[in-house]
Amino acid sequence: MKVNKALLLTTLAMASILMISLTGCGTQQAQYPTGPVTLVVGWSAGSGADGAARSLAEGTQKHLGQPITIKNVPGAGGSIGATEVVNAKPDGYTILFSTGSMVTQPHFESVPYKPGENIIPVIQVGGYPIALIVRADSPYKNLDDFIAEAKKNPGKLNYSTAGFGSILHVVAEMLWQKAGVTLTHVPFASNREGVVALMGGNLQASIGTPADFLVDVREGRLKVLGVAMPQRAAGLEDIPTFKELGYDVTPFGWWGVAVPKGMPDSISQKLHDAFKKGMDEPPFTDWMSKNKYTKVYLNSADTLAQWKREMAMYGDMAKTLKK
Amino acid sequence: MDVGIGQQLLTGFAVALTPGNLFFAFLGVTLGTLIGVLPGIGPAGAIALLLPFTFGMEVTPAIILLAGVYYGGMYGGSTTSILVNIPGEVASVVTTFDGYQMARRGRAGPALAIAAIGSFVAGTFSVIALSLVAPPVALAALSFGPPEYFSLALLGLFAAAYLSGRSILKGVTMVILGLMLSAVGVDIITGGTRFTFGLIELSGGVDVVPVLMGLFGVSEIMFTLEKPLRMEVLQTRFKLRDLWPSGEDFRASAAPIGRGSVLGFMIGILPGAGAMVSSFLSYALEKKLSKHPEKFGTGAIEGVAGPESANNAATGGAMIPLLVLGVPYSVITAIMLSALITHGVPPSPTLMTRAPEFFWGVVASMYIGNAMCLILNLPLVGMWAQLLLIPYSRLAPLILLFSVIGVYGANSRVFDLWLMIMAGVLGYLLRKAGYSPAPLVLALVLGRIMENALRQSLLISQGSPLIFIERPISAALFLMSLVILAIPAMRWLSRRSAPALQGMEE
Amino acid sequence: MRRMDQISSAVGLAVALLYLLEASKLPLWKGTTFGSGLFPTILGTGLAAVSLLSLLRASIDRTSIPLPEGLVPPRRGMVNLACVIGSLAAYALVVELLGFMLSTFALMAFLLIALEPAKKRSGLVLAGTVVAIAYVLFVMLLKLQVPRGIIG
Repeated sequence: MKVNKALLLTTLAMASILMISLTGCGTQQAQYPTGPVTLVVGWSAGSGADGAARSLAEGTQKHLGQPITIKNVPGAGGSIGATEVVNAKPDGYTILFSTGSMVTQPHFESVPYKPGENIIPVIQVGGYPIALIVRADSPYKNLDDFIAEAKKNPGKLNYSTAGFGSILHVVAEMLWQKAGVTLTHVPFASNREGVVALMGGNLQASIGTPADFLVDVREGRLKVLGVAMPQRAAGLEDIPTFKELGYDVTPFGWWGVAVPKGMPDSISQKLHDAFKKGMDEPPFTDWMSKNKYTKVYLNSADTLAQWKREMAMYGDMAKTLKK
Repeated sequence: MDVGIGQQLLTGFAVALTPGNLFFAFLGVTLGTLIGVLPGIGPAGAIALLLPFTFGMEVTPAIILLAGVYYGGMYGGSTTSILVNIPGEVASVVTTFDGYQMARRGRAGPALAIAAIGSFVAGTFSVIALSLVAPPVALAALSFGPPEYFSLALLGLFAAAYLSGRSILKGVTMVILGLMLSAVGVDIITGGTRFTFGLIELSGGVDVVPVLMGLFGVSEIMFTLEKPLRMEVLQTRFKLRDLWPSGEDFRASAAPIGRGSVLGFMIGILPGAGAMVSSFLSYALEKKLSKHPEKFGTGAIEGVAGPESANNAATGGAMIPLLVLGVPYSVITAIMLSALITHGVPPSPTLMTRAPEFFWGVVASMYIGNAMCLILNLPLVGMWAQLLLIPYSRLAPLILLFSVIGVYGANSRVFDLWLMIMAGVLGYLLRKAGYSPAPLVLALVLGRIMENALRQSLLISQGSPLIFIERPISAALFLMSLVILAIPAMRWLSRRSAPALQGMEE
Repeated sequence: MRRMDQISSAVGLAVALLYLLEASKLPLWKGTTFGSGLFPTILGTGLAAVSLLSLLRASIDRTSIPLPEGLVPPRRGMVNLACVIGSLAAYALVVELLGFMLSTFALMAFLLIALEPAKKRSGLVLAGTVVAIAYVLFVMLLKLQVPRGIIG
């Protein structure tokens, strides 16, 4: 008697669960998305890319119909995050928040992702200017002072970026090359850490984007010597561009969403449309304007073309930089 | 100024202490403890699991809930450390040293109670300290640069090597092994992959959770099961002697709790695995200051009181670099930072004055979570201790089940299961050979930070390794590390004539 | 001479050398920064040094401790170990194929019965109940991702 009862109970329990779970098993692709989507950000929490991604995700969620969770995978100028997405299943549940460093990294290190080949852009949403930051109490009143000091002490001045081969590193090196100076590059895991190290007196300069320095500049701890833009940035009008100071260095970074190769077009289209609407939603627009970034829209094909152009440009640049 | 702070704090509490928020605090702590008790899922995992549920909520209840989950998770992690020698998460590793021994002697109740009380006191201290000294301390912390991070990590590792087991050479071996494991994967600074042998799964590095579960959980079970007699000893001769700490226990724990709080808070401010390093350093400190250092490792309550307080106090300390400098030094603070940014409150030294309602709201929430954890768990100490009465033949499979769920659930990779199995076999072999796996885990966690700090320091100094000694703070830390190494060396040299006592673990 | 320590130190030395071998393929200097090979090389050298020291110490120590008796576990113990590792490995192999519930049930049932063969019935019931509760708690409530396999 006891045996039957126990077995019966167990079987009942298993059967009911079986039924519950079977109802959950449906066709996966029928109505994408059927579950939360993970947006991988290759930068640490609190960075510019992270803030942009989160505000974008917040506004896009309702257009996509499912929550978008952010996963931070910092390191190596965003390439660890990119690698993760490249290796993920192209089912639309793991996507990448791509940044400008994507087209610079591959030239410096053999990374498993090839922009445009195994990682495809879906949309571009914004741009970020790259700036040179020093401490407010440092003796450099402007860029010329800084360059002069660097000329007198080749290799002695230290500057930080968020990783070897990141777009910040490349733009900085372009500037040093045009100015004819050499500085020592100290890579950190995030821009913010580099800026903190700068404030602590360990470095002479940092390269960063507005999210990294706005608050500290406002409160008088840091100052910005210049920014790499074709003309003065909206919201940052009091910062001179490198170009007007005599150094023609103008590339800026961009943000977008990318997916692994092999995704069905219907899913890519859905993502593109959702993010396009999300771009115009308050969380993203507010965040971008508050932090002095620019909203830029490019569709998938145009972004791909831009990637190819930039890959070529940075490729040439990288050849002159590699020692 | 003080009036201002007091009033601000009261306002914060007024905001936080509504019935609705209290409910969320209770819910958070309950969930956090339950999840934290499961081996493999610590507070970070618990928060990650429950974070999506907070999206629809308002800021204050959400933070209260998460704070409760965090403290509950930390406590749950200590619970498994004490009861079954399996740390619920990385920061609870040190609690296994003496906590488990106390449980083996029937004193699980006092251990659990002191852990809860110590954590509460330390949490209170750190929240108060946070509100009083945040900005000046943070700015002072700016003087910690890469060389100091390196020396601090080195000190933590050497302390761990010194404490675990009888032989410091074995401890250092474990540390180096852990560091070697941490180097697997993509190099953060240059982006190149190393030691991955072509396996994609390794390109992200060796995840610490499967390794922790394997080294401690699986190997512990293996170690117990290999001698069927051991299992029976655990099952039959087990009696709960006391359920509550004695007066003597309280007296003995008071000072370690105090020291642990201060130490934990200070270490928490600095980068690195603040909670884990502080618990190791607290253990080392208590052992050093104790009149009976030989008792450590056999069930000294100071060995539970100090570290448990330290790792809780480190939480408050870690809030400082987060709120003031915007640099998160742990997974929890990273999550909080994202929350801050999306709510438009960027961190800076003026955060306290710019957004006082927010700041004090957070402080009050943390405190409520902390208090609720004590209120919930203290009465349950008896219940937790009774878990030990479950026969091991039933308990072991349950532990394995939850380890498996915890490990797989983190990243949904079967590879992590294999990692856990291999770590389990490794842990088993290491214990048989007399090595303690704790320093390995600490090294695995600290490895990346240490390596980055090393390279950055050498770049800053233009290649000169002297930078570690030239800067005063770094030099002091470095010196302390060497002293830790020197103690056993001198002892060995002076005792070479007398036979050293060696024994296998029973 | 401490035999056990000698063996483990020798193993440590071997590991160190293998590690150094692999590390030598990595660049020590890269562009403008120290390469990925710096740290591993330091570590490998360190481990080699420590292992050598350990080996030396174990060899010249005057107390003589041969391999301890309890090294190889008794038969029943070995069976237990095999069960634990074997079932975990089997689980890793089949979980994505058979799905969470089936595999976990099998794992639990196997272990419970293996460790206490006298109580097969209660073992099965316990396995079933625990898996059911775990599923409800983790998958349904907390939305943890578990493999679906053939049967969810």
